[in-house]
Amino acid sequence: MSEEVLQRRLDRARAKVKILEGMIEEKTRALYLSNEELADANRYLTLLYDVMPGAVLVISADGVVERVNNVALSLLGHAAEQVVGQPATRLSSELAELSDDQPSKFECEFNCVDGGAVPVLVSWAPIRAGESTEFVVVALDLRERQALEVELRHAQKLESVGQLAAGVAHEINTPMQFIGDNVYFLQEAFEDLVRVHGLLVRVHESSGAGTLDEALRVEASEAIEEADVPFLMERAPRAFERTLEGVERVSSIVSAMKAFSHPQTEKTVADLNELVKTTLTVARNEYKYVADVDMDLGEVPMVSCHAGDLQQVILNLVVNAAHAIQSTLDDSRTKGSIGVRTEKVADQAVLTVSDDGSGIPEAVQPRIFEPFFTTKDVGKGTGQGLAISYAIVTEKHGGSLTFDTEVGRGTTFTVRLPLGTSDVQAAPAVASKTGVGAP
Amino acid sequence: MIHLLFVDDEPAILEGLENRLRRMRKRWSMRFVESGVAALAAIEQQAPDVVVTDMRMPGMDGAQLLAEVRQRVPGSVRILLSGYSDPEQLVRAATRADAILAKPCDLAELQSTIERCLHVLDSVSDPEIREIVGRVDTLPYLPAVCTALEEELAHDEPSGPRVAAILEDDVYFSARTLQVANAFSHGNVGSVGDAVDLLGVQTLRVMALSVGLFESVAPRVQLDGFSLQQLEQRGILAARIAERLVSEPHRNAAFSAALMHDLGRLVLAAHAPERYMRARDLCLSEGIAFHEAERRLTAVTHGHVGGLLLARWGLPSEVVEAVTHHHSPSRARHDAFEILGAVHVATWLAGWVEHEQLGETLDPDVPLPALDLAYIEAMGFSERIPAWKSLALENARTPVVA
Repeated sequence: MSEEVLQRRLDRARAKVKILEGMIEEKTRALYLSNEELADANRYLTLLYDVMPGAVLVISADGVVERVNNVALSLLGHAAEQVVGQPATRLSSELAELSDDQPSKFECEFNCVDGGAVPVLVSWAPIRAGESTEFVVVALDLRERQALEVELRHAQKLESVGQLAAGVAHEINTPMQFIGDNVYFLQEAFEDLVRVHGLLVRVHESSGAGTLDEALRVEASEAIEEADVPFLMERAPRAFERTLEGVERVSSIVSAMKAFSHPQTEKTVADLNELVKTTLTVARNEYKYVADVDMDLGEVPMVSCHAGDLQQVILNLVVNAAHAIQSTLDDSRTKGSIGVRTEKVADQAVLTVSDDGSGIPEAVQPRIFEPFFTTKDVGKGTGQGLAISYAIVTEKHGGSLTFDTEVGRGTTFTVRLPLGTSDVQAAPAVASKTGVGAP
Repeated sequence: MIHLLFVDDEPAILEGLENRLRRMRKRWSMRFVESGVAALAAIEQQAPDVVVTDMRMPGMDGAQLLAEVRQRVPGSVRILLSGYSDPEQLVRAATRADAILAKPCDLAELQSTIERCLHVLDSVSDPEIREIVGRVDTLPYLPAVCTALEEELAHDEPSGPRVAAILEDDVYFSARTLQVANAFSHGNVGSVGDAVDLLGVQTLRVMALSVGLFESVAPRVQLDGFSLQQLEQRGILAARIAERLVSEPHRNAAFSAALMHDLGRLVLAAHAPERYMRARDLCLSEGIAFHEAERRLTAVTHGHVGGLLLARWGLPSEVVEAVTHHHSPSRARHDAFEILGAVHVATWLAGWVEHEQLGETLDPDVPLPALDLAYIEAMGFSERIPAWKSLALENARTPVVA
């Protein structure tokens, strides 16, 4: 091997080393940059993890909580060691439902350290971690939203009670007027009869003595004439009846009003028919000038429900029916009719409110349950009634609210409430709860 | 025998009333019907002297029924008896009823209201005048005042005093506002300012916008010698003078009465033009003042016409009296120079100033009414006439109609 050859090899080797050095330098720089990027991403994710206003939990395939963010800890009131490493089902039994399928969301409640429960909206997704699968769960606190919903419902109820107040006053004043008139009449009638009676007793005594006092006899017959005794005899029994009827009416309105405005936060067992009756009594002034109500109340088992809320639904449906009829009245048609029916169909309690009013135009139909949607004039409605009724029936009672309408013929609203399971949980409202078994 | 018709959709109310009013049956002949339609049929059979109706009834409501009664039996008394308090409905009813009573209502109140209303009608002997006045639904007004009112009410927060000032620029608007305020308060509201305070701007909005009280199509008057502008101007000038002629607490009532002193002339021009022209022809041929011509024809002057309308509209009696007798206060039994005296002198002064100084007057061809010298003398005020004249001249220098 000549020196020359060796020299060339050495040169090539050097050149190679130089190239390699360059390559190493380049790779090192790239590595550095990508490390930087990774660190940025990591910082970003860590920040996001703690800044986002939702609780983040990472759950292993076997259902153990592996990591949580600070929001989760403050939401649950736990220290990290009380949550991490523990089964996720301790927080909510529904977290057992997570599976490999596609991600979804649902509403449930998380158990807190103080024994309370926080309603949350849970979104989750599976994530591959090496061999196994983990689940990332993000839970949003629903307390504020639910409080606002309750407030809105309450506000709408107050609004309707406020509107009812003038009508209720009128409903009470009417019997008060005729009670007063009749009692006044009966008092006068009694006074007149006492006077007549007194004179007749004297006539009787004097005739018993054998000497009929002519002047006394004339006075007595004048008193009888003056008192118009046949009129009194004819009218007095009816006046008593009317008075009692009036008292009955006032007390039924007052007790219906009491039952109507009674606030209830918990579900109780209630008689749907009774709720219908009290609501119609309170709202009578809202419909009686435009419609006759035909009540057909079937045998319905007791329903576990928020009674006050259901009354609000019935009120909204009946007032809407009256408004739908009002717009169709004219000289030839001075009154429409509202039908209120209850019945038990399979395992449901069914309430229908139907009217022969204007019907709902097709263009409007898809929107009627939207909040603040209204076709009424300003001041006649805020567009809350049906939206809130829908929420009450579906979300709070797990039932359904549907309608059937024909323009020019009328509308029927149907409320279906589940029976039997007396402890019906509020069904989740989120429609996208697919792939998760219903509770 | 007085004929009364009671209307209520609630049979129990009618039965109760019939029972309670049993002792009235020697003086009152009473009928009881359950709907507006049945009431109109009953009216066809026999014209009632008094109609008492509920407000809310299926089909025709109380306010609609009262409008029908106004057309068919204008000379009858119209009373609303209702337990309802919706402001819009009450305004509609207030402009058609002589009185509004709230349920529950006791007999004494119902009875005294009916008798008071009948007494008001009896105060005018001429049945034709009673019908003309009873039929009044609307009267001519100044369109500019209506526009100003609408603009003010369209503001987010209209000012009560500004609304009152605008209303006081028009005789009809002032009278209507006072009518509704008196119906709402069963009270003694004599000034437009008090009326606006009492009703509140919201109710005035209801009156102006929902009920359309100030926008209803007013009859256009085109008669020789009649100018709405001049009539309004004289009213405002007289009102300004009148309030200076009396001391508190009579100033506001004197202002209102002087403002509306020619309301009867407005009623006749708009709703009985032949009658108006008959009187005016007599003025021209005989060279006498308008009220003197009226007196020669039927003994009833436009003072009585305006007074009757304001009395039916429930205005305080001193305002009614001042309007009724503003030509000749000595005809009223009164021993103090109060509202009536002030209105008499102020209306005379306003006419005098227009004639002497402004050269623009209501009807230049007709002689002006004279001052009731006997009355002035009896009051011991004869020496004040020159001072009054300078007061009038002072007021005439400021323009009265915007």
